[in-house]
Amino acid sequence: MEPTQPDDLIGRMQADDLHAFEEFFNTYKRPVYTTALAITRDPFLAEEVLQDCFVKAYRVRDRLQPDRSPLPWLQRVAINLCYSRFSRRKSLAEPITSIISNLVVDLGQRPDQIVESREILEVLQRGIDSLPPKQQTAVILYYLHGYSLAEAAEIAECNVGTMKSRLHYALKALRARLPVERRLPAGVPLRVVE
Amino acid sequence: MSCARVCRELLELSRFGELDVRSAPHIEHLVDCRACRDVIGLDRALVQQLRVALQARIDGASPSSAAWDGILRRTQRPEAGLSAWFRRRSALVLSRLRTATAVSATALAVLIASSTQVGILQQHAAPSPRPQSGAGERFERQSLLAEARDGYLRIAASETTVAYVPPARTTDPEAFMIHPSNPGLGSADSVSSSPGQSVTAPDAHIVVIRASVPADKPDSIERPTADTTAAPWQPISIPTGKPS
Repeated sequence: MEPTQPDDLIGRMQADDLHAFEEFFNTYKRPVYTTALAITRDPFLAEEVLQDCFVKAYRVRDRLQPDRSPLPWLQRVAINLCYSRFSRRKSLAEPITSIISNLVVDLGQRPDQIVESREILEVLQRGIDSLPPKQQTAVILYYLHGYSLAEAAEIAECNVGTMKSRLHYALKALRARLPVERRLPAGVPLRVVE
Repeated sequence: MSCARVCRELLELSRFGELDVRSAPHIEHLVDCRACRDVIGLDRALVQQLRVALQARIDGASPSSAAWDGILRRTQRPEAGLSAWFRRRSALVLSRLRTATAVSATALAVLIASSTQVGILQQHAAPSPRPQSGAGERFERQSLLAEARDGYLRIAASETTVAYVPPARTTDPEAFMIHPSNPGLGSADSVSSSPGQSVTAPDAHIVVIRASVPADKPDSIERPTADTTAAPWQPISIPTGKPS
């Protein structure tokens, strides 16, 4: 999952080598950008976060440790920047890109299946947006990026048990948002209260 | 094994990829229990849908090529703003603090070194015979401070006169403990009545306490004389009253 770090990249960056910094950016831009995009759901905002994150990395390059991957730190900075911008904006408008993607219909499936799966995905997207920031971060790190529990915990600055707990509560909250007939096990019949 | 427990444990094991041979009882239960199977199946389906939903958020997205130019431009610009000022300032303060810490640590070390006196202790040529206690046949009693520092520090015994004023009522427990007429005090080394003293004063009693004074500083301490004839004891007349 983690991109391999070229030899002595941070050391060269610390010696004010701009080519090394460009290499550093190209190595780590994708995971940082996807994290920001997954949280903000806005490509422009995600790019702003990406720029802020790498500018900050350049300014504090002397404090980066050459023998350790900078990715956990970069992810942490990106996540913090995303949520600090969220708190300023308070509410997010639905981005144009998601509206367009919702209008595009996959003609390879039956219409009822398409409607059902799109409905569930919509519910889940809204559910992810409504999660508390810590649970949202846990879900993105673990299920989107595929970090291990230990790696996700390191990025989120918590222990593994806390990370498990956050994931558990996030899934519980998402499950509660699903339609009732999808939450019940198949063997349990629905009771109609008259 | 109850369904609730199996579901709870299996959910955790399957979510975090921790299924192993120890999970065999859970799997056996799962084979027979349809309800548990559905719960676990629904959780897996939820996770699968969640991955799809998350992937849909970032599908095909990558930062534009202008992102690097923007970063490069910003890094070449001198940093401005309060945070930049604070960062520069904190770096300066930290560097000064480092120097100040080094200087103060050196000064402290010099101070400690200059006030420390190193002496060589000489060993005894022959140990003095020690009185043995009642159980001395089996254990040798360790002498205390005077022996431990013998040759360097000796304990000199002196007698200090202390006037004790008895309280109005003799039932006071403290008075009972210290009163020289109490026979329980007779054998104590630390408290005894002076042999030449009269304890007939109506309002005051004399208690003599042996005080330990270091022998290496005999002049610095005003030592009361044991000879009470040189400085005759004058009983103090202190009015007795109700204790506050």
